[in-house]
Amino acid sequence: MKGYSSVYSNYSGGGGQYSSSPLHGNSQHYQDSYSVYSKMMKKDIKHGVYDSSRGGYQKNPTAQNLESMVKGNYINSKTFNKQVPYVITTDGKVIIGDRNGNGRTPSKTPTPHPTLIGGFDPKVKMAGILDIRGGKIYSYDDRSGHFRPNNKSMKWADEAFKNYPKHRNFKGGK
Amino acid sequence: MFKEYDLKLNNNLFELDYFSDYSDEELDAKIELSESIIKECGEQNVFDGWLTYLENSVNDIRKAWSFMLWFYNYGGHEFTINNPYPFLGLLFKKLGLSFNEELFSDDDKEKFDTFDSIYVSMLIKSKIIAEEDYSYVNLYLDEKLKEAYNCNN
Repeated sequence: MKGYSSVYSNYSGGGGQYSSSPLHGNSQHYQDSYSVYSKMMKKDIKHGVYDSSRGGYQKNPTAQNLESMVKGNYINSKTFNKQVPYVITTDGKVIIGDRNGNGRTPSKTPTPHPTLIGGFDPKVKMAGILDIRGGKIYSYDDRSGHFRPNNKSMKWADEAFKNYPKHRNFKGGK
Repeated sequence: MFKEYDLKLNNNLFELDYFSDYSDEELDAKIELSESIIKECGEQNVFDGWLTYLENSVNDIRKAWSFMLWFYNYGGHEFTINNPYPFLGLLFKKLGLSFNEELFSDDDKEKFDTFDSIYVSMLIKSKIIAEEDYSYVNLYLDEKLKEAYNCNN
């Protein structure tokens, strides 16, 4: 973030060491599962997202299993249009939740990817952003500043999303 | 060299109420049309044309919500735009959302969530914020958005 630090909720760290986009150049080595990138955890401690005296990462209250949201040919309904953070757990479940799951106002603690699982050391097989258009999956990616999954792990996303309703222009993993 | 955007296309793209009943074929045809227009005219020209529609033809909250859902379905949130703030401020206003409210109706929550996705995506695409800051950006603290919102009072 360059020159717009006022838009950060509970957060003043800005872009930090890895502020250049996209994240792909800064991914972790390929692993079966990923823990939170250490520099991001330090930021989370500083800004109250991670608190070791309260169980580590508090769980995002809006976190839910994507499977439970499927209604017929739609995820939720045809008016469901948004980008949401997702993680794939070590047992293959897809969890999504709002990026501002604790509330929208600035005083609320942000809910980055690790809060979709919560705890001291949340681990994921994959994490990124899911783009849902008209209640159908349009695309998913590997953008998670916290887990920085290796692009080789995209195969887990391909596998996890394969049976969900797809948009007519479904782009797959990108 | 991109073609000029024909404002008459806006009716085809946005006049149908997103919440009404229409067939998958109708939906597919609209998405196909938007894709070919974006290819021919380029993102900035198309975006400017869509902004004109928002300014002149969207006069109530329901229509603004419908417009936003079409805009999202056409991938407008992925455009790389020089300055997305006038659009974002006007859309926030026309949706009837406010910087002073924490209590939302269910409708407002749904509207806010789509708007928020558009907001953060456009800021990232336009390189106003970094990708890794996705989770931390809060539109209530964005003075530029407030400024753009207030310009439309």
